Amino acid sequence: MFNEEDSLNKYNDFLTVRFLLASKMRPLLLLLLSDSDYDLNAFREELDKPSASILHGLKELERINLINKNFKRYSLSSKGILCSASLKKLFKDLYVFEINRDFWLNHSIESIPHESFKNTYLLKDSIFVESDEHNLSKSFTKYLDLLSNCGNMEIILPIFLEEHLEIILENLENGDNLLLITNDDVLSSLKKSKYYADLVDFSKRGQVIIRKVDYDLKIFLTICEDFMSLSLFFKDGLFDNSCFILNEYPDGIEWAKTLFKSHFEKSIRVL
Amino acid sequence: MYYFSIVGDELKFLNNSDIRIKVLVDLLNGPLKIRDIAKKSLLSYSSISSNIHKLCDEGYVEKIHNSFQLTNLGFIYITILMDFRDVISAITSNSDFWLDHDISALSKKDLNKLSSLEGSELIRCNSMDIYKTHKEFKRLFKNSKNLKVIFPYLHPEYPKLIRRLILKGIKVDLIVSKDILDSFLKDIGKDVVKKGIYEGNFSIKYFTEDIKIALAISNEFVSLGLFRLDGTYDQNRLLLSNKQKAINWGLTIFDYYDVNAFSLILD
Repeated sequence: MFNEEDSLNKYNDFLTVRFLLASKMRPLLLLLLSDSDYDLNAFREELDKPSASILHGLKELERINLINKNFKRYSLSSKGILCSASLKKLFKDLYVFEINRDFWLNHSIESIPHESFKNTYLLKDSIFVESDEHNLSKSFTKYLDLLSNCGNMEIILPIFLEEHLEIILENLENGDNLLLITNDDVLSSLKKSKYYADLVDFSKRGQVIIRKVDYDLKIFLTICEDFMSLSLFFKDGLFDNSCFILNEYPDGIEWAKTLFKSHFEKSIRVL
Repeated sequence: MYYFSIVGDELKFLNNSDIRIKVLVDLLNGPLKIRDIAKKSLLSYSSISSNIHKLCDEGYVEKIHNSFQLTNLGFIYITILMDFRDVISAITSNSDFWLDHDISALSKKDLNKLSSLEGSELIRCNSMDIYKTHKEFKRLFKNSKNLKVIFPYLHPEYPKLIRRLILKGIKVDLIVSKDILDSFLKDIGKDVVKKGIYEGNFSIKYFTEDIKIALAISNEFVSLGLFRLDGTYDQNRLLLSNKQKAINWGLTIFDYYDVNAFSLILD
């Protein structure tokens, strides 16, 4: 029933991972040393911890060659530099999930490929735009506002909403381009809508490409020149229009482009 | 430090117990009953039960009927932790390659993708074979269909090897440090260099700053060599991988140097 060897291999290497992460002192020391060399006094001042526990942590790190001691000063070895850089990435990778655990617990992540989770440090500067009791359409209004100043657009569209299409068409009138990935349901609604003829015209002018996938899309992703936004569906299958993730930095846009590409590769051109 | 202050407690909770990590890894394959996990891991039913309930309380695992499965958070955390494990494995399993070597040639982005090197093989010279890395390097070159190489140093055999590859029509892109450019060109033979460039299967660029990395990438492998901290190139160690993710990692580094290197202008 089980492939025991495979399973054992999967967690055998966790020994060093656990050594690094099961204590808060060891990662703290590695993080501090990534900025500069330290002596014991400087560590004590920075960490406000007793010398004994700092020295214990330092000895453990020295034992596996992550740090060097030279005339009472501690510094990272080249191996320590790599571990420290990897720790920093790990903390940033998890940050966007830790600041809003409920959001990730309650939403479907099935349209986000596993590989994308390994680079979520790129999302560290994201914010969650959420509607609240004072303004139930806050996230919707904010999204429309962003979309109207978008420039060229790459969108994965799993829902059909006239408000979106009106702004998209305005942007196209202004000379921007659209690369749209959608599914059969949305495509069928698009074709029946009053907007489709305009989209066909813009396509003939080379401004619009529409592609479709033949599976359920559970993300609404928008990538523009200055931002990316990501909305998800609730686990019960309903679209959540009350919250989206917004990132206005090149890193976040890079992450979104990789996600877009993964769906693009599974899509076919329909317009 | 800020990011650690946000995620440190959760990481400590998960890594404090070997059992918690094992349970999360096992559940990656789908829902399981406690007795299935016990059978698989040879851990006692009671210790799995107590830890799995702690994982449920913290939102990493949920109970569906009589089985347990990962929540989204559990899936995300263990996926990211396994990627981190791959990085640590790439570092620790080739410990003496990374230790006491100059890694300044690797950018922050390169370091963030170190997990790509998981499973690499460290080729090391020994007293019975003091030219092992050199021989391995040559062997790999000979079998390549295309080759991108960054040479920070000159070995008399490499220009000859490159010359043969160019003449065989193999696509070769070279980046060398400025100090060795002239010797390289002379040893390859200017007529062959011109022929290769003219026929489009050879390019050579030079880098004016110090190059602190030796990198060779082909369709089948990537190899990496580093300098020691005293500034000398370590001819005794070569990190080698034939995995596509490692090859892609190497290509990103090559592309960085390629963009920043100067093209050779021939008379």
